[in-house]
Amino acid sequence: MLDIIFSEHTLITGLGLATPLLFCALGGSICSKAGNFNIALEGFMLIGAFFGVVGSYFFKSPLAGVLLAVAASLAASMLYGLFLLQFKAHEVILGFGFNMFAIAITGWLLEPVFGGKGSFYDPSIPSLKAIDIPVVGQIPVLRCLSGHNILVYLGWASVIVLYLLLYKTAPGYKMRALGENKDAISTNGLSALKYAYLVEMLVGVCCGLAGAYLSIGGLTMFTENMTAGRGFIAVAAVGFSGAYIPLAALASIVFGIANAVAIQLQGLGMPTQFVDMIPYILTILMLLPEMYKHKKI
Amino acid sequence: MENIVLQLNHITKVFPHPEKPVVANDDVSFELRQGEVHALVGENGTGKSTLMNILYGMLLPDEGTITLEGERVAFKNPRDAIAHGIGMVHQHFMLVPSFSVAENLVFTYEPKKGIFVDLKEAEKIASELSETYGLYVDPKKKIRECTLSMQQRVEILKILFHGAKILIFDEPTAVLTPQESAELFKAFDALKKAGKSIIFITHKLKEVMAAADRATIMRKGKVIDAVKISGTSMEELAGKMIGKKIDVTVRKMKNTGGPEKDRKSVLRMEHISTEENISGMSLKDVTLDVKEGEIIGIAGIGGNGQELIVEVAAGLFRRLKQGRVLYRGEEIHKLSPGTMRSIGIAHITGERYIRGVSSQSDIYDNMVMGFHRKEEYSSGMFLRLKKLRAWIRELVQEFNIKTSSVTTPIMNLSGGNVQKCILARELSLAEDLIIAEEPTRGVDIGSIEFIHNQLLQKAGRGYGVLLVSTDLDEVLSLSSRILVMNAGRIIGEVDPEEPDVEKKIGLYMAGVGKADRGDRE
Repeated sequence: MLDIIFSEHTLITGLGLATPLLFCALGGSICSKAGNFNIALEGFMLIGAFFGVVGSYFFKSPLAGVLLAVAASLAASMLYGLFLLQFKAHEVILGFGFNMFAIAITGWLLEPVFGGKGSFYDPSIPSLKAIDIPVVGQIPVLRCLSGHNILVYLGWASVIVLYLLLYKTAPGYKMRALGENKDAISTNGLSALKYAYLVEMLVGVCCGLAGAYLSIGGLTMFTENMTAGRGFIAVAAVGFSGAYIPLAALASIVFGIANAVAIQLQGLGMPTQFVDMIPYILTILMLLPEMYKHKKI
Repeated sequence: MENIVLQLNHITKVFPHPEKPVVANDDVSFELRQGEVHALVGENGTGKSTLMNILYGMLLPDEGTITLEGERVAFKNPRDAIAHGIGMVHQHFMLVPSFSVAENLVFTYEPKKGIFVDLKEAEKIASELSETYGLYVDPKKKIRECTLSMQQRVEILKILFHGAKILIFDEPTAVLTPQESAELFKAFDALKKAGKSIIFITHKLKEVMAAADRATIMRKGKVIDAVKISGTSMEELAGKMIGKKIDVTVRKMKNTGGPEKDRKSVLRMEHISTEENISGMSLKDVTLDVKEGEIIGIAGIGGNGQELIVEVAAGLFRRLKQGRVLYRGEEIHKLSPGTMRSIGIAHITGERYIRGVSSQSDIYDNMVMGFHRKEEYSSGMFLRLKKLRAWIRELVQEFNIKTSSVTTPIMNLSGGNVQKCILARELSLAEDLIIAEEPTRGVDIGSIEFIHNQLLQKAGRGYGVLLVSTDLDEVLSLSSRILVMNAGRIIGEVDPEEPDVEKKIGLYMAGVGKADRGDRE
């Protein structure tokens, strides 16, 4: 039984399932370092997922789907930024508001755009194709890294790119300063607001890619509230890692693999209700050390 | 002798407010010479920081001009000012705690290697600058692990790295120990030798005398004078800082009544020494006695321990190292503020909106606080609401609080009326002791008169009043005796009716003159 659970197949599925979490956790980590504990990842992702299908369906191109997903999620995150940074809304209430807004708007748009209710599925919509990495594809175990679509690879690359951006470049320094001493930026005569918006842009793009992966990464379909709490698991990954990008990425991948294991268990006849709990229980377990550190328990 | 590098000409800055606009700078002119340390002296809230923020490009003046090295300049933002060689060390450091010293030093002016920040180069810059100016820092250390004085050195090196020729220090010694302050002044000398000019904001006259070449004194938004330190004295500076009284203060309190020994003591502090509070202030061997029918005034430049006296007397600060507080002969320094209030110690606080009222609540809720525990108004389980309401209405009338209804939110009232609400509540709760801390701060003239009369009336009826105020006129006009504080000690006592009293108080405020009680440092 164990070899079925911990097979290469599980690993491949897990890496795929981890991708939307990874993108969201990366965006969330940057936000968190910049002083915005963003819980609207879920909402941005859902909007991205919807417009991913829209783009792919109307332009007959999955790339157009990805671009539209990113654009829509970016628009949502900029709106979030406007409320947060300039209208000084409370970030938790604003986040909840955005998440509910995302569920409502995508659910409502389903009918006028696709003429259906609850969900939309059309096998003719092109989805992102799997890409094999030449040599890696031949090596046992390591071949799990091959055969994913472009967004999965992009996710892994983003870990490195965003890490370098945040910790090694001048704009990254400013973004991190935002979360610790905003005045350090303004006393040097620079606009803290500009960098705060830059942060919201990054999270918008990340969540857009996460959404696109969900809706056109494998099966092309959109169902109401299809993100199903993944944005909040990403928030947990951010909390667990202390918003440190490499740790947040690791946490996302662990969540993804746990999810894949859960699916395998389901196949083996374990009760669904129990299996479905696994990723969420894992979330709580992973947050325990962080909670302990802050003496909340 | 030296050339003038910087001139601020006729600067006026008004902060708009619908009812009472604040004139922070009123036609202020200021001159800085090449290579001098120039102290900008004045009490808190006299517009020193506003003036410097204008110079640093954080604020735009309403009127007036800036001339830098003979050229007229206008700074739209701090980056402009920095580009013109002006740097500022803020009172609250503008550092990022998780960054290293070197990273903070080059922040927003990072050296780059390709698209990345060149950390090695930054560390090199940090150690080089550190060596050049003899200001020790450890480039690799994280700021949150550095002492405050090292953080300050990072700030200084940072503005030197920006190429500053004029360095502004906003209350630089507020966070430093005396030894560290001495180190800082040594650094001033080194900077002077390197051809830098320094502006140094402070209200501590000792430091002015020790570190500055010249001083500009500000009071209530205006420049009073600019003097050479070698040709002045601390007393003269103190006099200019607190102001000469053109109109002779009207004494409202008369030192009459029975002979002193007949009066019973209401509040007595015996050799109180406390631990340090968050701002690093502590009381050192404070003894005072408030008798029935007396108003004891505590004078001093703000932040010299007055707030601690109030907090100790009201039970808000209980970390005493030594001494005891007696209320009618009984020890009270271990009691909670609630108990102190219930035994009849009234506290009119200086922190009106923080401690005085609950800003979320209405007038009625704010005024019943304290009464709701009294037997007269509470059966233990239920409040006697009818009685309470009638009582509050009565108080509102008696104290002439201008409101349409007692259910109006307290924040809708003007400052003077809020203060009257507090006064009404506290004076009615008081059994025989009233602690009045800045009772008229930010209050309109009409209310000031009213509040003063209320305090005098209470004293006339035999209440003891401890009046703490940085408004010298107020202390002079109301007190029967005045104690002057400096650096946590009571440094002297004066009789407000003796001639030349203001000069004497000025001396004491500045920390000069003999200490009547115990040795000073």
